[in-house]
Amino acid sequence: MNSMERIFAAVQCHDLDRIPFILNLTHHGAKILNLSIKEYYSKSEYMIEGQKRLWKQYRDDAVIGISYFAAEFKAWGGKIKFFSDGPPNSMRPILSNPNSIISIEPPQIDEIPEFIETLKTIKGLHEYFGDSVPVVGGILSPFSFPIMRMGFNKYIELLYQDLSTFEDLMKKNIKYAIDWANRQIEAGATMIIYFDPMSSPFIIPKSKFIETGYQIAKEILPKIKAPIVYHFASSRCQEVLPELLQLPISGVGISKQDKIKESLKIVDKKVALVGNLSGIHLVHATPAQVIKELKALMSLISPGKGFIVSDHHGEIPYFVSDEILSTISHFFHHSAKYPLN
Amino acid sequence: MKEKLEEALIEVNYQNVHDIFQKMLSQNFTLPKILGIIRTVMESIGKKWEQERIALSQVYMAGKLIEMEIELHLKNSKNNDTIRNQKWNKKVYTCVYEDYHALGLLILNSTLRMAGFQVINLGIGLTEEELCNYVSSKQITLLLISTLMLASAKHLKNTIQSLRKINPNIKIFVGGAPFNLQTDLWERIGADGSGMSPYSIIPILDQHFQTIQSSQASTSEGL
Repeated sequence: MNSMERIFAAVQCHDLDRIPFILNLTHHGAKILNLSIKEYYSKSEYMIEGQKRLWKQYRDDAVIGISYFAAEFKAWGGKIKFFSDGPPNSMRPILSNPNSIISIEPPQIDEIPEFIETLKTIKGLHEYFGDSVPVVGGILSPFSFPIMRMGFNKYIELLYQDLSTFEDLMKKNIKYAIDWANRQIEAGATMIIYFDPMSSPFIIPKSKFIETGYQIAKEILPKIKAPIVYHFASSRCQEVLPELLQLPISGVGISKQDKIKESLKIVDKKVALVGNLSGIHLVHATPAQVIKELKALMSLISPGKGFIVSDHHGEIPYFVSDEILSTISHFFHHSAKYPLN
Repeated sequence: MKEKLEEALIEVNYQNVHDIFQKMLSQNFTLPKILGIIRTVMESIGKKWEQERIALSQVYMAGKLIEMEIELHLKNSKNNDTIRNQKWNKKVYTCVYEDYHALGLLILNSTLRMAGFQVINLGIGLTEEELCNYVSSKQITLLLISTLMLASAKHLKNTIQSLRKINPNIKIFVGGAPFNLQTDLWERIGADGSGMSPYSIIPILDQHFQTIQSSQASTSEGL
């Protein structure tokens, strides 16, 4: 099986040769090319080359076509800050008044340099890997995006105080998000990760999710023309898994805080689960500790259908060493073959 | 009363929270009694969050509603002086380091104020240089630092070393997602402690101030 076949078998909960794993390596491309993170993200050529080299080194089951989510914040008028050893971060929220945010028109995808480079990266990776390795695309859910644009506190207040304004805000966000996802698919993205941490029961109660984020997802997801993984960016989601099963998705990214056996039971092979290694733990772990953790994970997911091992945040920290990444890769290529022992 | 207030806060029911405050005032509850109820209720809400029984948004809104009611009913009354003078000897400086996401800081500040601490918010997105300037100019002895990103949490190691060069006795407590996900990270970066939630830091701070008071009392006796 190649990686494409393996990932699709996993999301369809079919038999496969070994447990698939995706390392979610993004800015590690800068490290392998000996570039700064800012420089690396400035050109699609760098990102394509970085992903190719990372894949050759670790042979995981996908390459990452997207760059960083703060680029979306920048596209809507925000300022971002680059770091030497972590993802770029959004700076101060643009506007605290939701009515002002509503008056802002969404960015034109073809006019945003960061989006153009992302689309070129996806296209380049798709041309290179063809049908052998999935190219991962992704969008920040319109429901979660206002965290950056308004600030977390103002957005929470809006959700509890003014649902009418919230709905107006979502209308523009929704159209933009669907366009952005489908443009990535047209460029060659195999799947779209729908990052929606705001919908986690860690952030809002389930009742509020059903009233808000869930309705947004129900509107958007059917219009995205590729398989979708619903992702909570390391926040827990077990409590809302029954609701997620009603959505047109192929997988759910689960957190370290979620219980694997219970989660597998809830989804009952209707969708795949993706997770749930903690990247932060990997920063300080020894190879022996990582192998121990992977073995424990194998025992929980056995017999293993419908599970893709991955970092639970959607991006593995820059501080995770080559030694640890190589340990994970070696484990899956040698110790995660079927039948699992 | 406590149960009803807690229920109204968790439901983010403005009207019910407001009505309960009106009722307490109409029944001539003293200010210490009202503040005692608030502290008990907020501690209970904090525990429910730690036990994953309620969500972060409910914790934030509970603090927000309580502060709104205090502002509305108490600040402009004769109680104002009592509030202002409450345990103001417990001064705590707070900030967000490198990141610009303020929710954790807002919840922390609100929780600390309700627990009787004087909170001085240094702001968000602070750099090492800015923190060093604050510690030096304001003679800060107790600092609570929040971060969101792992990179920022790791950068704090050097910053804490710099802060200790300015004030070797400074106490620094850290919090935020990276520290919750890796519970020994605060030790690795040289902080004095961390809390899984704003509520869990209160006993640590109480202990800190008790130690200072005991030390001051011993010094006085010695004199």
